[in-house]
Amino acid sequence: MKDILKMMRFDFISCLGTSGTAGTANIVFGVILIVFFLGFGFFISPVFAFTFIAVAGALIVPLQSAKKDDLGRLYGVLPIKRRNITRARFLYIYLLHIVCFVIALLLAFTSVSLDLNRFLPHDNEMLRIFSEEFNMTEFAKLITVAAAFTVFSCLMFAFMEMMGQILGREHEMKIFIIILIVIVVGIMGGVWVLGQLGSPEIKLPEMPQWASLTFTGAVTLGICVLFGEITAAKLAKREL
Amino acid sequence: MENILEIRGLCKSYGDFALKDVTFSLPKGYIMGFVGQNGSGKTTTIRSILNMAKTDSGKISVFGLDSVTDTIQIKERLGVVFDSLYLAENLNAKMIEKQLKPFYKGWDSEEYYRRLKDFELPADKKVGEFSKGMKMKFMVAVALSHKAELIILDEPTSGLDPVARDELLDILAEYIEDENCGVLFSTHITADVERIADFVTILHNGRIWFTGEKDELAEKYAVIKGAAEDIPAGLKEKMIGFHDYRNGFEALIQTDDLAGLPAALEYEKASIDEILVYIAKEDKNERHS
Repeated sequence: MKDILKMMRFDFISCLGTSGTAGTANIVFGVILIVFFLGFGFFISPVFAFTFIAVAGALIVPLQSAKKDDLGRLYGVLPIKRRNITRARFLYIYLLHIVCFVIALLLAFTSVSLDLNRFLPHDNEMLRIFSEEFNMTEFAKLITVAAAFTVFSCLMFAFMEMMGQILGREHEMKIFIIILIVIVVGIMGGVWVLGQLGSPEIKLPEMPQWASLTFTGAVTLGICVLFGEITAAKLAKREL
Repeated sequence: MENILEIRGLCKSYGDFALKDVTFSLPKGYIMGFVGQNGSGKTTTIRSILNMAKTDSGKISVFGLDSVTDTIQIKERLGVVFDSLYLAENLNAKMIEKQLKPFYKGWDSEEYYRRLKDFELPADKKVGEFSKGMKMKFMVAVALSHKAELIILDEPTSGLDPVARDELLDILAEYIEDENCGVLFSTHITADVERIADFVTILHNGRIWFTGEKDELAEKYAVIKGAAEDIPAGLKEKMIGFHDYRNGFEALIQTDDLAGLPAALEYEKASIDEILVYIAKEDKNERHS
Protein backbone atom coordinates (compact mmCIF):
# COMPACT_ATOMS: atom_id res chain seq x y z
CA MET A 1 0.00 0.00 0.00
CA LYS A 2 2.89 2.34 0.78
CA ASP A 3 4.19 1.92 -2.75
CA ILE A 4 0.76 2.67 -4.19
CA LEU A 5 0.53 5.87 -2.15
CA LYS A 6 4.02 6.91 -3.25
CA MET A 7 3.05 6.31 -6.84
CA MET A 8 -0.21 8.25 -6.51
CA ARG A 9 1.76 11.18 -5.14
CA PHE A 10 4.15 10.77 -8.04
CA ASP A 11 1.30 10.90 -10.58
CA PHE A 12 -0.25 13.91 -8.84
CA ILE A 13 3.00 15.88 -9.05
CA SER A 14 3.37 14.86 -12.71
CA CYS A 15 -0.10 16.22 -13.44
CA LEU A 16 0.44 19.45 -11.52
CA GLY A 17 3.45 20.12 -13.67
CA THR A 18 1.78 19.08 -16.87
CA SER A 19 -1.59 20.81 -16.56
CA GLY A 20 0.18 24.02 -15.42
CA THR A 21 -1.61 27.28 -16.07
CA ALA A 22 -4.47 25.70 -18.02
CA GLY A 23 -5.20 23.30 -15.14
CA THR A 24 -5.14 26.07 -12.55
CA ALA A 25 -7.43 28.25 -14.67
CA ASN A 26 -9.79 25.30 -15.05
CA ILE A 27 -9.98 24.83 -11.29
CA VAL A 28 -10.53 28.54 -10.59
CA PHE A 29 -13.24 28.69 -13.26
CA GLY A 30 -14.95 25.64 -11.78
CA VAL A 31 -14.94 27.10 -8.27
CA ILE A 32 -16.41 30.41 -9.44
CA LEU A 33 -19.16 28.63 -11.38
CA ILE A 34 -20.15 26.47 -8.46
CA VAL A 35 -20.05 29.17 -5.81
CA PHE A 36 -21.98 31.85 -7.67
CA PHE A 37 -24.30 30.02 -10.03
CA LEU A 38 -25.53 27.13 -7.96
CA GLY A 39 -28.27 29.10 -6.30
CA PHE A 40 -30.18 29.32 -9.59
CA GLY A 41 -31.49 25.90 -9.16
CA PHE A 42 -30.57 22.31 -9.10
CA PHE A 43 -31.50 21.84 -12.71
CA ILE A 44 -28.18 23.26 -13.78
CA SER A 45 -26.27 21.29 -11.18
CA PRO A 46 -25.12 18.84 -13.85
CA VAL A 47 -23.22 21.78 -15.28
CA PHE A 48 -21.44 22.20 -11.97
CA ALA A 49 -20.78 18.53 -11.66
CA PHE A 50 -19.46 18.54 -15.15
CA THR A 51 -17.24 21.49 -14.36
CA PHE A 52 -15.63 19.58 -11.56
CA ILE A 53 -15.17 16.63 -13.79
CA ALA A 54 -13.30 18.97 -16.08
CA VAL A 55 -11.21 19.94 -13.07
CA ALA A 56 -10.55 16.28 -12.47
CA GLY A 57 -9.67 16.06 -16.11
CA ALA A 58 -6.98 18.67 -15.62
CA LEU A 59 -5.37 16.31 -13.15
CA ILE A 60 -5.91 13.06 -15.02
CA VAL A 61 -5.68 13.81 -18.71
CA PRO A 62 -2.02 14.84 -18.50
CA LEU A 63 -1.24 11.35 -17.25
CA GLN A 64 -2.99 9.79 -20.18
CA SER A 65 -1.25 11.98 -22.68
CA ALA A 66 2.19 11.56 -21.07
CA LYS A 67 4.84 10.14 -23.35
CA LYS A 68 4.44 6.42 -22.86
CA ASP A 69 7.96 5.37 -23.75
CA ASP A 70 9.63 7.68 -21.33
CA LEU A 71 7.31 6.72 -18.49
CA GLY A 72 7.98 3.09 -19.29
CA ARG A 73 11.67 3.65 -18.83
CA LEU A 74 11.13 5.57 -15.62
CA TYR A 75 9.00 2.74 -14.24
CA GLY A 76 11.79 0.37 -15.15
CA VAL A 77 14.18 2.35 -13.01
CA LEU A 78 12.08 3.03 -9.91
CA PRO A 79 12.35 0.55 -7.03
CA ILE A 80 8.69 -0.41 -7.10
CA LYS A 81 6.66 -3.38 -8.33
CA ARG A 82 5.22 -2.82 -11.77
CA ARG A 83 1.77 -3.97 -10.65
CA ASN A 84 1.69 -1.29 -7.96
CA ILE A 85 2.41 1.39 -10.55
CA THR A 86 -0.67 0.33 -12.48
CA ARG A 87 -2.84 -0.10 -9.40
CA ALA A 88 -1.84 3.36 -8.18
CA ARG A 89 -2.94 4.94 -11.44
CA PHE A 90 -6.49 3.60 -11.12
CA LEU A 91 -6.79 4.46 -7.43
CA TYR A 92 -5.52 7.93 -8.26
CA ILE A 93 -8.32 8.41 -10.76
CA TYR A 94 -10.88 7.20 -8.21
CA LEU A 95 -9.56 9.26 -5.33
CA LEU A 96 -9.35 12.40 -7.41
CA HIS A 97 -13.00 12.06 -8.36
CA ILE A 98 -14.00 11.57 -4.73
CA VAL A 99 -12.04 14.67 -3.74
CA CYS A 100 -13.65 16.68 -6.56
CA PHE A 101 -17.09 15.42 -5.55
CA VAL A 102 -16.60 16.45 -1.92
CA ILE A 103 -15.22 19.86 -2.90
CA ALA A 104 -18.13 20.38 -5.30
CA LEU A 105 -20.61 19.62 -2.55
CA LEU A 106 -18.88 21.87 -0.03
CA LEU A 107 -18.90 24.73 -2.50
CA ALA A 108 -22.49 24.04 -3.43
CA PHE A 109 -23.51 24.03 0.23
CA THR A 110 -21.69 27.33 0.74
CA SER A 111 -23.35 28.81 -2.31
CA VAL A 112 -26.86 27.78 -1.24
CA SER A 113 -26.35 28.75 2.39
CA LEU A 114 -25.08 32.22 1.54
CA ASP A 115 -27.60 32.60 -1.31
CA LEU A 116 -24.84 33.91 -3.53
CA ASN A 117 -27.03 34.01 -6.59
CA ARG A 118 -28.60 37.20 -5.26
CA PHE A 119 -25.58 38.98 -6.69
CA LEU A 120 -26.48 37.81 -10.17
CA PRO A 121 -29.12 39.37 -12.45
CA HIS A 122 -32.54 37.70 -12.01
CA ASP A 123 -34.39 39.09 -14.98
CA ASN A 124 -33.44 36.12 -17.12
CA GLU A 125 -36.58 34.10 -17.83
CA MET A 126 -34.85 30.79 -18.09
CA LEU A 127 -32.99 31.23 -14.82
CA ARG A 128 -36.25 32.24 -13.13
CA ILE A 129 -37.90 29.05 -14.35
CA PHE A 130 -35.01 26.99 -13.06
CA SER A 131 -35.27 28.64 -9.66
CA GLU A 132 -39.00 28.01 -9.45
CA GLU A 133 -38.85 24.51 -10.81
CA PHE A 134 -36.27 23.19 -8.42
CA ASN A 135 -36.71 23.63 -4.76
CA MET A 136 -33.60 25.13 -3.23
CA THR A 137 -34.03 23.14 -0.07
CA GLU A 138 -33.68 19.81 -1.88
CA PHE A 139 -29.98 19.53 -1.41
CA ALA A 140 -30.26 15.76 -1.77
CA LYS A 141 -31.08 16.12 -5.47
CA LEU A 142 -27.84 17.99 -6.07
CA ILE A 143 -25.89 15.27 -4.30
CA THR A 144 -27.50 12.57 -6.41
CA VAL A 145 -26.88 14.35 -9.70
CA ALA A 146 -23.29 15.25 -8.79
CA ALA A 147 -22.67 11.66 -7.66
CA ALA A 148 -24.03 10.29 -10.93
CA PHE A 149 -21.76 12.54 -12.95
CA THR A 150 -18.80 11.74 -10.74
CA VAL A 151 -19.34 8.00 -11.14
CA PHE A 152 -19.78 8.33 -14.87
CA SER A 153 -16.62 10.41 -15.25
CA CYS A 154 -14.59 8.18 -12.96
CA LEU A 155 -15.53 5.01 -14.80
CA MET A 156 -14.97 6.62 -18.16
CA PHE A 157 -11.50 7.82 -17.21
CA ALA A 158 -10.64 4.46 -15.67
CA PHE A 159 -11.87 2.60 -18.76
CA MET A 160 -9.94 4.93 -21.05
CA GLU A 161 -6.84 4.42 -18.94
CA MET A 162 -7.23 0.66 -19.10
CA MET A 163 -7.74 0.56 -22.84
CA GLY A 164 -5.04 3.18 -23.43
CA GLN A 165 -2.49 1.16 -21.49
CA ILE A 166 -3.47 -2.17 -23.02
CA LEU A 167 -4.02 -1.14 -26.64
CA GLY A 168 -1.75 1.89 -26.75
CA ARG A 169 -2.37 5.60 -26.35
CA GLU A 170 -2.61 6.07 -30.09
CA HIS A 171 -5.99 4.30 -29.99
CA GLU A 172 -7.36 6.55 -27.26
CA MET A 173 -9.49 8.74 -29.52
CA LYS A 174 -11.02 5.67 -31.17
CA ILE A 175 -11.79 4.25 -27.72
CA PHE A 176 -13.39 7.52 -26.65
CA ILE A 177 -15.59 7.60 -29.74
CA ILE A 178 -16.60 3.96 -29.20
CA ILE A 179 -17.54 4.74 -25.57
CA LEU A 180 -19.68 7.65 -26.69
CA ILE A 181 -21.43 5.53 -29.33
CA VAL A 182 -22.07 2.75 -26.82
CA ILE A 183 -23.53 5.23 -24.32
CA VAL A 184 -25.78 6.89 -26.89
CA VAL A 185 -26.94 3.54 -28.30
CA GLY A 186 -27.40 2.22 -24.74
CA ILE A 187 -29.58 5.16 -23.72
CA MET A 188 -31.63 5.05 -26.92
CA GLY A 189 -32.00 1.29 -26.61
CA GLY A 190 -33.03 1.60 -22.98
CA VAL A 191 -35.64 4.23 -23.81
CA TRP A 192 -36.98 2.06 -26.64
CA VAL A 193 -37.15 -1.05 -24.44
CA LEU A 194 -38.90 0.87 -21.67
CA GLY A 195 -41.34 2.24 -24.25
CA GLN A 196 -42.07 -1.29 -25.49
CA LEU A 197 -42.64 -2.46 -21.94
CA GLY A 198 -45.04 0.40 -21.29
CA SER A 199 -42.63 2.23 -19.00
CA PRO A 200 -42.81 -0.14 -16.02
CA GLU A 201 -42.04 1.35 -12.67
CA ILE A 202 -38.63 0.18 -11.55
CA LYS A 203 -38.46 -0.17 -7.81
CA LEU A 204 -35.07 0.33 -6.32
CA PRO A 205 -34.39 -0.76 -2.75
CA GLU A 206 -34.98 2.12 -0.43
CA MET A 207 -32.10 3.25 1.67
CA PRO A 208 -30.85 6.47 3.20
CA GLN A 209 -28.87 8.67 0.83
CA TRP A 210 -25.60 8.27 2.74
CA ALA A 211 -25.97 4.49 2.41
CA SER A 212 -26.69 4.61 -1.31
CA LEU A 213 -23.75 6.96 -1.83
CA THR A 214 -21.45 4.68 0.12
CA PHE A 215 -22.70 1.70 -1.84
CA THR A 216 -22.22 3.51 -5.17
CA GLY A 217 -18.77 4.67 -4.12
CA ALA A 218 -17.78 1.14 -3.13
CA VAL A 219 -19.03 -0.34 -6.41
CA THR A 220 -17.17 2.35 -8.38
CA LEU A 221 -14.02 1.67 -6.39
CA GLY A 222 -14.46 -2.04 -7.06
CA ILE A 223 -14.75 -1.45 -10.79
CA CYS A 224 -11.67 0.82 -10.78
CA VAL A 225 -9.70 -1.83 -8.89
CA LEU A 226 -10.92 -4.46 -11.35
CA PHE A 227 -9.82 -2.33 -14.31
CA GLY A 228 -6.48 -1.84 -12.57
CA GLU A 229 -6.00 -5.56 -12.02
CA ILE A 230 -6.95 -6.41 -15.61
CA THR A 231 -4.48 -3.81 -16.87
CA ALA A 232 -1.73 -4.98 -14.51
CA ALA A 233 -2.25 -8.59 -15.58
CA LYS A 234 -2.06 -7.66 -19.26
CA LEU A 235 0.98 -5.44 -18.81
CA ALA A 236 2.85 -7.99 -16.70
CA LYS A 237 3.38 -10.04 -19.85
CA ARG A 238 4.75 -7.06 -21.71
CA GLU A 239 8.25 -5.62 -21.61
CA LEU A 240 8.93 -2.03 -20.63
CA MET B 1 38.00 -8.95 -6.78
CA GLU B 2 34.35 -8.79 -5.77
CA ASN B 3 31.99 -8.37 -8.69
CA ILE B 4 29.33 -5.69 -8.51
CA LEU B 5 27.69 -7.02 -11.69
CA GLU B 6 27.76 -10.53 -13.12
CA ILE B 7 26.03 -11.80 -16.24
CA ARG B 8 26.20 -15.51 -17.06
CA GLY B 9 24.88 -17.11 -20.23
CA LEU B 10 22.31 -14.43 -20.99
CA CYS B 11 20.13 -15.32 -23.98
CA LYS B 12 17.29 -13.27 -25.30
CA SER B 13 15.69 -13.32 -28.72
CA TYR B 14 13.46 -10.81 -30.49
CA GLY B 15 12.43 -12.14 -33.88
CA ASP B 16 15.46 -11.58 -36.06
CA PHE B 17 17.77 -10.45 -33.26
CA ALA B 18 19.20 -12.50 -30.40
CA LEU B 19 21.57 -12.08 -27.51
CA LYS B 20 23.54 -15.31 -27.36
CA ASP B 21 25.30 -16.53 -24.25
CA VAL B 22 26.34 -13.10 -23.04
CA THR B 23 28.73 -13.49 -20.12
CA PHE B 24 30.81 -10.83 -18.42
CA SER B 25 31.41 -9.32 -15.02
CA LEU B 26 32.34 -5.95 -13.58
CA PRO B 27 34.42 -5.81 -10.42
CA LYS B 28 33.74 -3.22 -7.72
CA GLY B 29 35.60 0.05 -8.07
CA TYR B 30 35.92 0.02 -11.86
CA ILE B 31 34.40 1.48 -14.98
CA MET B 32 33.47 -0.84 -17.81
CA GLY B 33 32.99 0.43 -21.34
CA PHE B 34 30.30 -1.59 -23.08
CA VAL B 35 30.80 -1.11 -26.79
CA GLY B 36 29.44 -2.40 -30.03
CA GLN B 37 27.82 -1.26 -33.23
CA ASN B 38 24.27 0.05 -33.19
CA GLY B 39 21.98 -2.95 -32.88
CA SER B 40 24.62 -5.20 -31.34
CA GLY B 41 22.53 -5.76 -28.21
CA LYS B 42 23.93 -3.27 -25.71
CA THR B 43 20.59 -1.73 -24.82
CA THR B 44 18.89 -5.14 -24.64
CA THR B 45 21.56 -6.29 -22.20
CA ILE B 46 21.04 -3.18 -20.08
CA ARG B 47 17.27 -3.63 -20.18
CA SER B 48 17.77 -7.21 -19.03
CA ILE B 49 19.90 -6.03 -16.11
CA LEU B 50 17.11 -3.63 -15.16
CA ASN B 51 14.52 -6.40 -15.49
CA MET B 52 12.76 -4.37 -18.17
CA ALA B 53 13.23 -7.18 -20.68
CA LYS B 54 12.40 -10.80 -19.96
CA THR B 55 15.37 -13.03 -20.60
CA ASP B 56 15.10 -16.45 -22.24
CA SER B 57 17.87 -17.93 -20.12
CA GLY B 58 20.90 -16.96 -18.11
CA LYS B 59 21.50 -15.31 -14.80
CA ILE B 60 22.19 -11.72 -13.90
CA SER B 61 23.30 -10.68 -10.45
CA VAL B 62 23.83 -7.16 -9.24
CA PHE B 63 25.42 -6.63 -5.80
CA GLY B 64 25.18 -10.42 -5.51
CA LEU B 65 21.37 -10.23 -5.79
CA ASP B 66 19.21 -11.81 -8.47
CA SER B 67 18.08 -9.26 -11.06
CA VAL B 68 14.57 -10.74 -11.29
CA THR B 69 13.64 -11.78 -7.77
CA ASP B 70 15.50 -8.97 -5.99
CA THR B 71 14.84 -6.26 -8.53
CA ILE B 72 13.45 -3.74 -6.03
CA GLN B 73 16.41 -4.01 -3.64
CA ILE B 74 18.75 -3.70 -6.61
CA LYS B 75 17.03 -0.60 -8.01
CA GLU B 76 17.30 1.10 -4.60
CA ARG B 77 21.06 0.94 -5.03
CA LEU B 78 21.25 1.49 -8.77
CA GLY B 79 21.49 4.67 -10.81
CA VAL B 80 20.50 4.70 -14.47
CA VAL B 81 21.26 7.26 -17.15
CA PHE B 82 19.65 6.75 -20.52
CA ASP B 83 20.45 8.55 -23.75
CA SER B 84 17.44 10.81 -23.19
CA LEU B 85 15.66 12.10 -20.13
CA TYR B 86 13.12 9.65 -18.73
CA LEU B 87 11.70 12.00 -16.10
CA ALA B 88 8.68 14.28 -16.60
CA GLU B 89 10.07 17.02 -18.81
CA ASN B 90 7.59 19.65 -17.70
CA LEU B 91 8.66 19.51 -14.06
CA ASN B 92 11.53 21.39 -12.55
CA ALA B 93 14.29 19.80 -10.49
CA LYS B 94 12.56 20.72 -7.22
CA MET B 95 9.35 18.93 -8.19
CA ILE B 96 11.26 15.92 -9.47
CA GLU B 97 13.00 15.67 -6.11
CA LYS B 98 9.57 15.60 -4.43
CA GLN B 99 8.52 12.82 -6.79
CA LEU B 100 11.56 10.62 -6.39
CA LYS B 101 12.50 11.13 -2.75
CA PRO B 102 9.91 8.74 -1.25
CA PHE B 103 11.13 5.86 -3.40
CA TYR B 104 14.68 5.79 -2.08
CA LYS B 105 15.56 5.12 1.55
CA GLY B 106 18.98 6.60 1.03
CA TRP B 107 17.81 9.80 -0.67
CA ASP B 108 19.84 12.79 0.50
CA SER B 109 18.21 16.13 -0.36
CA GLU B 110 21.28 18.12 0.66
CA GLU B 111 23.40 16.05 -1.66
CA TYR B 112 20.85 16.52 -4.44
CA TYR B 113 20.89 20.31 -4.24
CA ARG B 114 24.66 20.33 -3.80
CA ARG B 115 25.01 18.29 -6.99
CA LEU B 116 22.61 20.56 -8.87
CA LYS B 117 24.76 23.50 -7.82
CA ASP B 118 28.02 21.74 -8.68
CA PHE B 119 26.68 20.72 -12.09
CA GLU B 120 25.27 24.23 -12.65
CA LEU B 121 21.71 22.98 -13.07
CA PRO B 122 18.95 25.47 -12.19
CA ALA B 123 16.45 23.97 -9.73
CA ASP B 124 13.54 26.12 -10.93
CA LYS B 125 13.84 25.53 -14.66
CA LYS B 126 11.80 22.79 -16.35
CA VAL B 127 14.14 19.88 -16.99
CA GLY B 128 12.72 19.53 -20.52
CA GLU B 129 14.30 22.90 -21.29
CA PHE B 130 17.75 21.69 -20.26
CA SER B 131 20.35 21.10 -22.95
CA LYS B 132 21.24 17.47 -23.67
CA GLY B 133 24.41 17.75 -21.59
CA MET B 134 22.46 19.22 -18.68
CA LYS B 135 19.92 16.40 -18.90
CA MET B 136 22.67 13.80 -18.67
CA LYS B 137 24.23 15.56 -15.70
CA PHE B 138 20.81 15.84 -14.09
CA MET B 139 20.25 12.08 -14.35
CA VAL B 140 23.67 11.53 -12.80
CA ALA B 141 22.76 13.99 -10.02
CA VAL B 142 19.62 11.95 -9.32
CA ALA B 143 21.66 8.73 -9.20
CA LEU B 144 24.21 10.25 -6.85
CA SER B 145 21.52 11.66 -4.55
CA HIS B 146 20.23 8.24 -3.62
CA LYS B 147 23.79 7.02 -3.21
CA ALA B 148 23.73 4.57 -6.11
CA GLU B 149 26.49 2.01 -5.83
CA LEU B 150 26.36 1.12 -9.50
CA ILE B 151 25.58 3.54 -12.30
CA ILE B 152 24.51 2.16 -15.65
CA LEU B 153 24.69 4.57 -18.56
CA ASP B 154 23.21 3.77 -21.94
CA GLU B 155 24.80 5.88 -24.69
CA PRO B 156 24.99 8.97 -22.47
CA THR B 157 27.51 10.84 -24.58
CA SER B 158 25.91 10.41 -28.00
CA GLY B 159 24.87 13.80 -29.28
CA LEU B 160 26.86 15.70 -26.64
CA ASP B 161 29.32 18.38 -27.59
CA PRO B 162 32.97 17.71 -26.63
CA VAL B 163 32.81 20.01 -23.57
CA ALA B 164 29.67 18.34 -22.19
CA ARG B 165 31.17 14.89 -22.88
CA ASP B 166 34.32 15.82 -21.07
CA GLU B 167 32.35 17.13 -18.09
CA LEU B 168 30.28 13.95 -17.86
CA LEU B 169 33.35 11.75 -18.02
CA ASP B 170 34.99 13.80 -15.28
CA ILE B 171 31.94 13.30 -13.09
CA LEU B 172 32.12 9.53 -13.60
CA ALA B 173 35.85 9.48 -12.91
CA GLU B 174 35.24 11.36 -9.66
CA TYR B 175 32.39 9.02 -8.70
CA ILE B 176 34.50 5.92 -9.15
CA GLU B 177 37.05 7.19 -6.64
CA ASP B 178 34.80 5.46 -4.12
CA GLU B 179 36.02 1.92 -4.58
CA ASN B 180 32.71 0.38 -3.53
CA CYS B 181 31.00 1.66 -6.65
CA GLY B 182 31.00 0.65 -10.28
CA VAL B 183 30.02 2.07 -13.66
CA LEU B 184 28.77 0.24 -16.74
CA PHE B 185 28.94 2.61 -19.63
CA SER B 186 27.49 1.67 -23.00
CA THR B 187 28.60 3.71 -25.96
CA HIS B 188 29.70 3.59 -29.54
CA ILE B 189 31.99 6.58 -29.00
CA THR B 190 35.05 4.54 -28.20
CA ALA B 191 37.21 7.57 -27.41
CA ASP B 192 35.23 7.89 -24.16
CA VAL B 193 36.00 4.29 -23.29
CA GLU B 194 39.68 4.77 -24.12
CA ARG B 195 39.67 7.70 -21.76
CA ILE B 196 37.99 6.45 -18.60
CA ALA B 197 37.25 2.72 -18.74
CA ASP B 198 39.26 0.10 -16.87
CA PHE B 199 37.44 -2.81 -18.49
CA VAL B 200 35.96 -3.24 -21.93
CA THR B 201 33.27 -5.55 -23.20
CA ILE B 202 32.70 -5.67 -26.94
CA LEU B 203 29.38 -6.98 -28.09
CA HIS B 204 28.97 -7.98 -31.70
CA ASN B 205 25.81 -9.38 -33.28
CA GLY B 206 24.47 -10.29 -29.85
CA ARG B 207 27.61 -12.17 -28.78
CA ILE B 208 30.49 -11.19 -26.56
CA TRP B 209 33.48 -10.64 -28.81
CA PHE B 210 35.84 -9.55 -26.04
CA THR B 211 35.55 -8.90 -22.33
CA GLY B 212 38.42 -8.02 -20.07
CA GLU B 213 40.78 -5.26 -19.05
CA LYS B 214 41.21 -2.41 -21.51
CA ASP B 215 44.98 -2.82 -21.46
CA GLU B 216 44.62 -6.50 -22.29
CA LEU B 217 42.56 -5.60 -25.35
CA ALA B 218 45.18 -3.11 -26.45
CA GLU B 219 47.87 -5.79 -26.06
CA LYS B 220 45.87 -8.47 -27.78
CA TYR B 221 45.12 -6.92 -31.18
CA ALA B 222 47.09 -5.07 -33.81
CA VAL B 223 46.36 -3.60 -37.21
CA ILE B 224 48.57 -5.15 -39.89
CA LYS B 225 49.32 -3.46 -43.23
CA GLY B 226 51.39 -4.18 -46.28
CA ALA B 227 51.32 -5.72 -49.72
CA ALA B 228 49.07 -8.73 -50.12
CA GLU B 229 51.84 -10.73 -51.82
CA ASP B 230 53.99 -10.45 -48.65
CA ILE B 231 51.45 -12.33 -46.49
CA PRO B 232 52.96 -15.67 -45.41
CA ALA B 233 50.95 -18.81 -46.00
CA GLY B 234 48.30 -19.47 -43.37
CA LEU B 235 48.35 -15.93 -41.93
CA LYS B 236 45.53 -14.52 -44.01
CA GLU B 237 43.08 -16.97 -42.45
CA LYS B 238 43.95 -15.56 -39.02
CA MET B 239 43.27 -12.00 -40.08
CA ILE B 240 40.05 -10.29 -39.10
CA GLY B 241 38.33 -7.91 -41.51
CA PHE B 242 40.92 -8.35 -44.25
CA HIS B 243 40.54 -5.61 -46.84
CA ASP B 244 42.57 -5.39 -50.02
CA TYR B 245 43.16 -1.89 -51.36
CA ARG B 246 44.94 -0.82 -54.57
CA ASN B 247 48.12 -0.01 -52.62
CA GLY B 248 48.03 -2.95 -50.20
CA PHE B 249 45.91 -4.53 -47.51
CA GLU B 250 44.84 -3.83 -43.93
CA ALA B 251 43.48 -6.22 -41.34
CA LEU B 252 43.16 -6.84 -37.63
CA ILE B 253 45.24 -9.61 -36.14
CA GLN B 254 45.92 -11.10 -32.73
CA THR B 255 49.35 -10.09 -31.51
CA ASP B 256 50.11 -13.78 -30.77
CA ASP B 257 49.99 -14.38 -34.53
CA LEU B 258 52.58 -11.75 -35.28
CA ALA B 259 55.56 -14.01 -34.49
CA GLY B 260 57.80 -14.50 -37.54
CA LEU B 261 56.10 -11.69 -39.46
CA PRO B 262 58.07 -10.63 -42.59
CA ALA B 263 59.71 -7.21 -42.26
CA ALA B 264 57.73 -5.98 -45.27
CA LEU B 265 54.54 -6.08 -43.22
CA GLU B 266 53.91 -3.35 -40.67
CA TYR B 267 51.73 -3.43 -37.64
CA GLU B 268 50.60 -1.09 -34.89
CA LYS B 269 48.41 -1.29 -31.80
CA ALA B 270 44.71 -1.36 -32.63
CA SER B 271 42.38 1.20 -31.06
CA ILE B 272 38.91 0.10 -29.92
CA ASP B 273 37.46 2.04 -32.83
CA GLU B 274 39.61 0.11 -35.29
CA ILE B 275 38.72 -3.18 -33.65
CA LEU B 276 35.01 -2.44 -34.10
CA VAL B 277 35.54 -1.46 -37.73
CA TYR B 278 37.49 -4.64 -38.56
CA ILE B 279 34.93 -6.83 -36.82
CA ALA B 280 32.25 -5.27 -39.01
CA LYS B 281 34.41 -5.74 -42.11
CA GLU B 282 34.91 -9.39 -41.22
CA ASP B 283 31.13 -9.84 -41.33
CA LYS B 284 31.03 -8.37 -44.83
CA ASN B 285 33.91 -10.62 -45.97
CA GLU B 286 31.97 -13.63 -44.73
CA ARG B 287 28.92 -12.56 -46.60
CA HIS B 288 30.84 -12.01 -49.81
CA SER B 289 32.84 -15.24 -49.71
